[in-house]
Amino acid sequence: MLQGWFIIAAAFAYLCVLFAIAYWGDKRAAEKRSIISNPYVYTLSIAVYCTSWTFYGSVGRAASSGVGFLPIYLGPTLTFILAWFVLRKIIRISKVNRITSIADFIASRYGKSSYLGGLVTIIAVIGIVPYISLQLSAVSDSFTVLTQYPVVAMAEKVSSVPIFADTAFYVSLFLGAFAILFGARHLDASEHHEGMVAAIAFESVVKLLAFLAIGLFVTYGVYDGFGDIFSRAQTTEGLAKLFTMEGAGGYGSWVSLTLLSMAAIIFLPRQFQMTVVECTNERHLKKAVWLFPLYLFLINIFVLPIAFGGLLHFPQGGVNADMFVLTLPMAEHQEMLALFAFIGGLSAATAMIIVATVSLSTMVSNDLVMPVLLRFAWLHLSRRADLTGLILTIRRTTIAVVLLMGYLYVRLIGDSYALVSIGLVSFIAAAQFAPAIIGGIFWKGASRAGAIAGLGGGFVLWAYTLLVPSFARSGRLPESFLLDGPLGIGMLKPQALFWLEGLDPTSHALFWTMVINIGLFLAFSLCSSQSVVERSQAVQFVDVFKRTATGRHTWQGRATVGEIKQLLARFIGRVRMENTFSELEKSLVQVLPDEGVASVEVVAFAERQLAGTIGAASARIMLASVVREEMHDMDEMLEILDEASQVIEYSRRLEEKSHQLQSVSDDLKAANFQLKELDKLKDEFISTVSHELRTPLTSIRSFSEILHDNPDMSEEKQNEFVGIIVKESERLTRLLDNILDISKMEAGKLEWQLKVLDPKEVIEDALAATAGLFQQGDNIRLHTDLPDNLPAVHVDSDRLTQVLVNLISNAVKFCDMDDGTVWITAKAKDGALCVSVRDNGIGISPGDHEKVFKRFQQAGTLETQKPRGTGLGLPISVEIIVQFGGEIWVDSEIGAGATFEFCIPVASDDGDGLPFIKEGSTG
Amino acid sequence: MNGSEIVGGRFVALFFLGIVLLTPPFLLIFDRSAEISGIPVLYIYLFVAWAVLIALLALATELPKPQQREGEGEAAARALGYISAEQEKAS
Repeated sequence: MLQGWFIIAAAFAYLCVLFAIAYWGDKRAAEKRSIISNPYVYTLSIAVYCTSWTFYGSVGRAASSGVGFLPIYLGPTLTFILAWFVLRKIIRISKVNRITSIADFIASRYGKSSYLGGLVTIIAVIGIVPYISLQLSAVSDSFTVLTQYPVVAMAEKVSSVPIFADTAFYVSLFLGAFAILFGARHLDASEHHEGMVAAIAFESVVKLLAFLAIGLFVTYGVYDGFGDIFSRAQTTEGLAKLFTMEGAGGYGSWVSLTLLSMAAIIFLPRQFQMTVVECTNERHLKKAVWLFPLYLFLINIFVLPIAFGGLLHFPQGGVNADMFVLTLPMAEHQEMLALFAFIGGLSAATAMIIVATVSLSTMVSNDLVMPVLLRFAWLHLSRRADLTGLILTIRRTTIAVVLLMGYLYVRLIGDSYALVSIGLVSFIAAAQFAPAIIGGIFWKGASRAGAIAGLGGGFVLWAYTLLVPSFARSGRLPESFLLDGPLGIGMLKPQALFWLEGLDPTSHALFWTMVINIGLFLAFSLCSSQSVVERSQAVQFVDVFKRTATGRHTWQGRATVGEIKQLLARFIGRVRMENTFSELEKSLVQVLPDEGVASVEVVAFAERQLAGTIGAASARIMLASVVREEMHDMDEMLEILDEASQVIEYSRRLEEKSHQLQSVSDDLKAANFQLKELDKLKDEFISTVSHELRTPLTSIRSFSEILHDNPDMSEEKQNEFVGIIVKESERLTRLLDNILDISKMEAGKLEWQLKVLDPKEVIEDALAATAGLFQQGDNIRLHTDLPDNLPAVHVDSDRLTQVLVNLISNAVKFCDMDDGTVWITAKAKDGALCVSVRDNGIGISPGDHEKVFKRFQQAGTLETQKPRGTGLGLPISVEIIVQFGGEIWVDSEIGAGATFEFCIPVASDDGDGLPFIKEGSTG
Repeated sequence: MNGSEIVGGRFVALFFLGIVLLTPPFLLIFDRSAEISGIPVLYIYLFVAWAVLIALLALATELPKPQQREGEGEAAARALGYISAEQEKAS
């Protein structure tokens, strides 16, 4: 029954079911009733990871290396544990920036660089070709094997049959047409392929069920459970070594495969497409985080039993272990199960081919061909009315070319590799994207130069250590190239580069490509500077969770809304354009007339829409052509400057604040110091005052006691003592008056009765008050020099008198005992009235000049001389003169008498009263 | 530390557990020619460890985010002097 036509018919029917599902999915999407928007379909769509490699290849790998197939599935489990940190961030960034492919992602991160986008695309296409060839070869092999039913025989070597007799060729053509119909039927502005996702999810169910069915049949139908199979293998020669890690290729290979698959699960273009681009809701990831590893677990449970079952069943060899999944049911004459296995394998292969080619074709058209075409001004592409046709053509051609390249690879390398080994070549190519992306989303310093250098270097080494050897192995290159190195240079042996031997080819290539890739990426990033766009993209990517996802104000042009609309219509069609614009109008709550200037929001919106269709780099070029202005680097720069200046502003304010605080604290320190000083002065003052008060009190008390105790004292003596008591009492009164005065002055409580006065009158009053002093003994003479036309001063007459009396009485006190003379002179000088009182006494040493104006301080030593004043006269005089706005000082030397002089500014014109006393007004 | 940070912390912890369970030094313990009811221990170990990891991953994502019991956090904050009476009134 399993003739060729029947198998083809079954396969065809299966693919029709896929189409139906895809059609249904697209229809529901258009009705906005998505069937894929749930975590389960999302998980199943990620399971596109499991391809023919898993379905057929894992068993083949297990048959030769035991658990050696397992790291490919443990790695993704580890990566998904970290999905919260890595995948979630990539998804968020892609949603915000409308990323359509892995090339778009990297180009966008590194300053929307079209060169980088092109480089990534080239790496992706070349890197994935071996993987596609793996699927082609698996499908054609399984088909050939199945048509032999019930004979279990292997297909002939593909390279030995002519192309037109080669099943793989027809498989390629068929799958190519299928992929074109599926993924490039029409252009979708959002680049969401809901129908495709639904079909892929269905395929994941089919391949899982098929594999589980074979597994259960082999384990429990052919054998008697797990224990039975492994016990039999244990006793079979040569199989027991597969039970340990030694058979699995050792630990080095184990670790490197784990690392490799950790990267592949994110960075294979088709995984990126499914996990990131087709993700309809970030929250679905939460469930997929454990559901996807569970899927991997389930599809791997029966790999080892099937592998050992096959090894036990075909002990003589001759049956390719990669085909055990198919040949075991065939050998047991289970027609339908064998067909189911074939369909399962077909679903695994088609899923991979559809998604891989769709993602590659998006990349090629958006990031490679369109940017190049748009740069050729002579094509006038940016003026063409409708580009959808062109884009579709590019995509369809890409799919066809990629599949043909895959087929060519199959023919070139022939059967010299097992399925898994072919797949690993692609895995390492995909891993090259890891540094640029992981570095790009966590490190703002990652630069375009670093990404280009890392990717370029890694890719070159990948080609040299993996791609070239695969040709050499299959005889397309001389074998000596591998064994002795090119031109016999041992250092350059592709599989033992720089004499690094002892590693398996995969680990060897992974090590060298990663060393070079990461090394160049870091070195160039650290040594190059970023452009403005790069810098802003870096910030946007790394801080995606900190920023709101609004359009960025990076465009400023003179385009009208109509022009922008026209541009959009060319790429996404007029109807869709009208729809999106009416949505935009609704969200902006304003009508956008065609002739109006397109605001920044509108241009940014158009850029996002375009980016969805033709990629970020192309969208920029297109918009630039309409907006007639290169992107305003200035604006972007300003925005970045803005951020920087904000930070600077904050720090400046902080600095200011700290300066303020510093000065306040300095002020406080000074105030505190002053307070302490004042406190000390107050203490001194009080102790001095007490001392000063005690002296007269003591003498009053002692003379009173003498009088009291000696009533029979002579009257003369009594009078003398009473005289002393009276004098001391007067001194005490004076002292208290002075203290009151000075404390009032200092507290500002003294009332000043300021008037404009003729100073001569005041001086004469003072002389009158002190006239008695000069009559005491006739040995003191007074000289006065008081001109008539002295300028008027604005003073309190009583207080000025007090100063004069004080100065005069001091002069009398300290002038020469025997032949004393006191000179009083007044004169106008520089707008001031100056009065000096001079004596010819003992004088004051210059060191004591300041001291005499301080409270209770007198020239000479208090200990030896009896105080001859209250010690407050001069301080009070200072206070008074200062109050009048004048100065007082002393000029003297020991033995040369002393001159006390003060100057008071003369009363001004606007003072209340006469500025000058008119001549002759005083008599 | 808010709820989602704790969930993030769970993943970091699980990742390290995964690394320990599935890579060499620990793996060496089970890398021996011994069988349990006919099945090699290495096989059993790898699949069991994998299953445990997936189960824990499911628990880590599906268990509700830990939240401080109502009032407890505030009481603690007050006890430690982070909230003063004035602040409380103000809020």
